[in-house]
Amino acid sequence: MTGPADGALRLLRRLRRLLRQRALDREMDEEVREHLRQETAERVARGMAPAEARRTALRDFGPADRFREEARAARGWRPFDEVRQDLRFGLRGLARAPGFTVLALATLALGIGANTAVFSLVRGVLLRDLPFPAAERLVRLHEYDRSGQGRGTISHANMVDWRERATTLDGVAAYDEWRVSLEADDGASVMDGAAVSAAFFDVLGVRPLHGRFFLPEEDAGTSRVVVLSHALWLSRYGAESGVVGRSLRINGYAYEVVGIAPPGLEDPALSGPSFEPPVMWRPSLPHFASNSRGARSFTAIARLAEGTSLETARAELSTIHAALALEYPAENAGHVVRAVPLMDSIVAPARRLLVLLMGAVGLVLLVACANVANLQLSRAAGRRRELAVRTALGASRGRVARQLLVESTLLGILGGAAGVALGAIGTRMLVLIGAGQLPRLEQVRMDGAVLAYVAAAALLTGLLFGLLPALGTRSDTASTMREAGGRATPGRARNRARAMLVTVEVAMAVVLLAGAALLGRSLLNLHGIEPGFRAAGVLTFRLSPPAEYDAARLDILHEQLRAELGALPAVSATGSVDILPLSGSFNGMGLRVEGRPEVPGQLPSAETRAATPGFFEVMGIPVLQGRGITHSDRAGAPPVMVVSRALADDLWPGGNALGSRVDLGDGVHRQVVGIVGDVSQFSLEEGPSPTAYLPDPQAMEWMRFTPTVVLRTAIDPLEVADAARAAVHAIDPRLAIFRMRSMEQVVGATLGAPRFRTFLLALFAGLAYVLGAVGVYGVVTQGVAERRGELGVRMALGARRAQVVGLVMRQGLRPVLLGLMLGLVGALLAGRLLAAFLFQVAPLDPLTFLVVPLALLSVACMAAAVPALRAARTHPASVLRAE
Amino acid sequence: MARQKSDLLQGTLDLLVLKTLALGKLHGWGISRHIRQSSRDVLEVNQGSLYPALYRLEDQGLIEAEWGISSEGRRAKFYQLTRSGRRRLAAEQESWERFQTAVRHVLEGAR
Repeated sequence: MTGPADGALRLLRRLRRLLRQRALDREMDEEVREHLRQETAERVARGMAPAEARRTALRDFGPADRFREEARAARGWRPFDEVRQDLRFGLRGLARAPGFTVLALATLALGIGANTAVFSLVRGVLLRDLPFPAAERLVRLHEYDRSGQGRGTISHANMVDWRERATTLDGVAAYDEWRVSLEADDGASVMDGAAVSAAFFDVLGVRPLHGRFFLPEEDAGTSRVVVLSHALWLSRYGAESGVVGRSLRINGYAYEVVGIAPPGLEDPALSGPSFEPPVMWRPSLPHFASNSRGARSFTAIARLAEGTSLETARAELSTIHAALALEYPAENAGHVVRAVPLMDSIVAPARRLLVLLMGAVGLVLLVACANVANLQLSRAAGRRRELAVRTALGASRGRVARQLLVESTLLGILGGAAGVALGAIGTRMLVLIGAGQLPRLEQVRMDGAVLAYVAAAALLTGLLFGLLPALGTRSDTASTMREAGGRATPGRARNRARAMLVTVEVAMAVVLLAGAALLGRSLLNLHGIEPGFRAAGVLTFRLSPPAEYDAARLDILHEQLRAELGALPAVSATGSVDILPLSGSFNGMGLRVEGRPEVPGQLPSAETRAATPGFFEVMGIPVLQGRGITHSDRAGAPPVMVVSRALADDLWPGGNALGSRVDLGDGVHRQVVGIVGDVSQFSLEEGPSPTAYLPDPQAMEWMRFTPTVVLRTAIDPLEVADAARAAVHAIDPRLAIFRMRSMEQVVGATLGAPRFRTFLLALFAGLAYVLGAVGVYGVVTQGVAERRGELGVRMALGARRAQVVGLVMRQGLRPVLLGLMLGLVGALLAGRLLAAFLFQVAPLDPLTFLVVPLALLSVACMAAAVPALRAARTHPASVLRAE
Repeated sequence: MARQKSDLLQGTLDLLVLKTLALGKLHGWGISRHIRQSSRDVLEVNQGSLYPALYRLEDQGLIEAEWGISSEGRRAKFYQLTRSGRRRLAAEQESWERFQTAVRHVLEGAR
């Protein structure tokens, strides 16, 4: 009769009318009124009395209600009307049970909110594309020695060869940290910049917002030009395009601003590990080209040629690198090159944590679902009579089931809305506390994808926990009516379903709690680690001297610092080092021990530091053998070095370290004069790294330029900060001070990541714990309510209170015990996934596996005991009378 | 039983409404009066079923409605045939006449 096009048209018309429903209803009323008026008028004209005419006209028209129903049906509204009715019933039903509604909504909001927050993190950090065109073709290039050791930094000379020989790469760029001391009338401020190959911006594929990027000839490293970051341009220059062409004084030189970068280049992952987002870029520094091939201190990115697969590029790079190893065996033997997608290299460290968090909030949502399903079941039990009556009055079974589904979907949607609100707050919180622990947090925001995810989660949960009670309506009507009469014991199937849900909840809670406990124990263990130095009572800050400070002036500076800072009250010792332990920077150098045959590609390496005499004293690092660094270790004096115990044990297992001579690749043979205690250089988990300490005046010049000053204080170190600042500026007001922190803050920062994950997992576990307890309480309470009659009879027949309490509790706790057992199995499996995050705790930690079930059992006992005691207190007579 | 009867009526009513509107725009009461008058008071349209019929026809896209001013100067809703309404009227009229002829043949043959 009608084609699909007609059908579609009709649906459109209906939808349009549906939107105008109220207006249409009004028009319909008006039309009918007019009709009646005219009919009455006509009847009067035919000679009827007006009152009579109106009465008969109305009568002939028929009942208004039925008319209206039919008219709506005729307009094709029935399905819409029924859904509207279901919605209205649903809302009314929810409003009638405020306790249930609030509890269910709160549960859902928490579950969905936690998921929203964590998913926005996942979306922003893991799923959102990098802000560069064809970003999937960007790779980071790493060099490692055969054992996979090293931090993946590369040699600049090798990079140049890759660039020239590779056909699978469209461009290669290297970059390095570049400390910027930007001078202004009110003093200098020290910021992080980056020195980059001229091709850097081309490789990323970005265009300048104003001005230009770098020219190929600027790779020589002699041009003093900079490109400003978008953020700096906004904050410092008010987004004025006139700043292009202006001259800035940086590190004592005049630099010309040649361009402004677009936003999106601030990602710290694009600069260095210990760095803030770069505020400006300059072309290659002179040392890029002059460095020896063996110096691997650069980060490199490349763009794959169009249509080239990562595998092809990797294969070609390996071939090129094999050739380079033959050409330069001393520097390249034993090294391999690897290309990793840039996105992977940025987010890889975060991926495991985010997957863990997604898993955790997924479990929380399951617990929340189980809880609401439970509440629904309990409520459905109370409403069985209502539903049975509706069925008996002719509502189709499908209609009743649909109403229940609509109701739970409504709960899901409302809970989802509340969850989104909670999630928005949660997201902001996560970004705040996650700062520094996760990359790309600036990409995190609630967007369409997040909202779609939440909507899907809300609807799915609504369906999930709505389905169970809806399926329950299949039981036969007559028995329900009988049961609702009050005599029969409640359906076994329903009880079994509820017990099962409690089991699920408890199991999930056990998994989460065990995970949180394992992480918590790891965190405690980390706190208990001796880093090899005494962090309490140490103030640290970095110094950036003006450009004209040469080696001799730096020697004087250290003398002045020792005199001025040492004279401050409450300061007992001062010293300095180029790279502070646990500060995130590193400087690994190869060591050649004099008189020892050298195996190519197996040069031992050690972290190398330039330190002044006071450093060990301030940090409380003990001198174990020989001597520390002294003031007589001057520039012209015999070159010496002090090694950490781990390095001594590595290189001189026989114990004859003292007196040996070592070449750090600069041709100077330094004599080992002392052995000091080990220090954790990178992280507490990693533990001590073999380290060589050089007297500052004898160290390579580039190691000396940005010293970190350390002060031992008798009072809270931060209280000395102002005095220290003033003392430094009294020496030379152009000395820029930055990163002023207490050593305890430095250590605390390295614990940020484990603290972050432990806090979050504990939070989610706590949620599951509370929800689980609520679930047990709800089920036992409901069970008691349904068995009031039976319990009353038992007590009337002489059962003692203790027996009744025992009966109720036994029944309430049976599913809990089952859940505990299942949860422990789950926790064993989850523990394996957690292994990477654990520190000195076995995934099978016996304490955790004892305490967690006990904690859950005790709260479950309390949750069950409340209704059980209440049941035992009721007077049998009152119960029986109520029947 | 009752349902069959109303179905028959409904089909007939639709035809009568469409035919009436083929003469021009008309409001609800006008339609009912026209049917009554042109059937010489034989066919009394049940008022309560006229409007549902109008809405149904509108929903099917056979007629369309707009508000206008009646000859008495009052606001009224006028209905008119759409193009597909005209086509439907032709088809229905033809099938009605076939039906009528068939019934007449049966009745005359029986006599």
